[in-house]
Amino acid sequence: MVNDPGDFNANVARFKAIADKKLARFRASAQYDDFLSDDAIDAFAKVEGSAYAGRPHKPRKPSAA
Amino acid sequence: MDGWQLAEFAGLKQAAREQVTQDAWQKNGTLAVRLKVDEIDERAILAHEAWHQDHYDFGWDRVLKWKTRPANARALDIALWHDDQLAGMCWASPQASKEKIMVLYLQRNPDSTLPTRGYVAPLCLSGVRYYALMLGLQWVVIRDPLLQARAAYELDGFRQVKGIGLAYDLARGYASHTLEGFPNGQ
Repeated sequence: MVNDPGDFNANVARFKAIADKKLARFRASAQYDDFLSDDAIDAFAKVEGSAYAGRPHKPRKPSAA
Repeated sequence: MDGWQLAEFAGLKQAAREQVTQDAWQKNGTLAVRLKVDEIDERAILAHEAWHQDHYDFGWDRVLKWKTRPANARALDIALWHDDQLAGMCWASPQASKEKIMVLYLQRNPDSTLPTRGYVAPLCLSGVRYYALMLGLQWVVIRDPLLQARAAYELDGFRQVKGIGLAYDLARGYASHTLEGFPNGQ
């Protein structure tokens, strides 16, 4: 159990450092495919709505005329 | 959930967000220099309230409360900033699953003049993928995808999978042997 905020932050940094190394290996792997292809960026830019995923919480109130 | 696990999830989320920044630098330095990848906090919610009105209201303000709940400790929240403008937000969570992370909400700033317009979704999805890999999950699933955006998702490798939904398969040959060590926070 970690109660001290200093310990908590130190543990966060420790886990992040481990993850950084693993993700660097992932990015360097031959199978890594970048989500930021020109085609994908262009396709998402052409989507007219601003929401790409999700169910609306409630309808927007109509703005005052 | 103890402090050790909370620290682990916090570290993984920070790492995933940082990788998103690297993605941006790799793709477009001009954009990346003005981009910041952060968590969803009060500043983001306030900035969201200044977005132009459009059809979608996901109740983003609820995220601040959600983040305080232990049940959402594994959820990932991303706020993308372009200078001082909030460019987009994403909320994804494995909920109780040991196989899937669900992208529950993903939205860009409705201001279509922002240069981040086409980048918000790929950057956020990339962050979710990094995080899901470290959790040892198999799928990134888009919950309630906008119909018009399906073709764009497919360009990033998402496919309609029977019984799962619009999903990206993380087990594409690299996940299992390169990222062991974070088995669902154990």
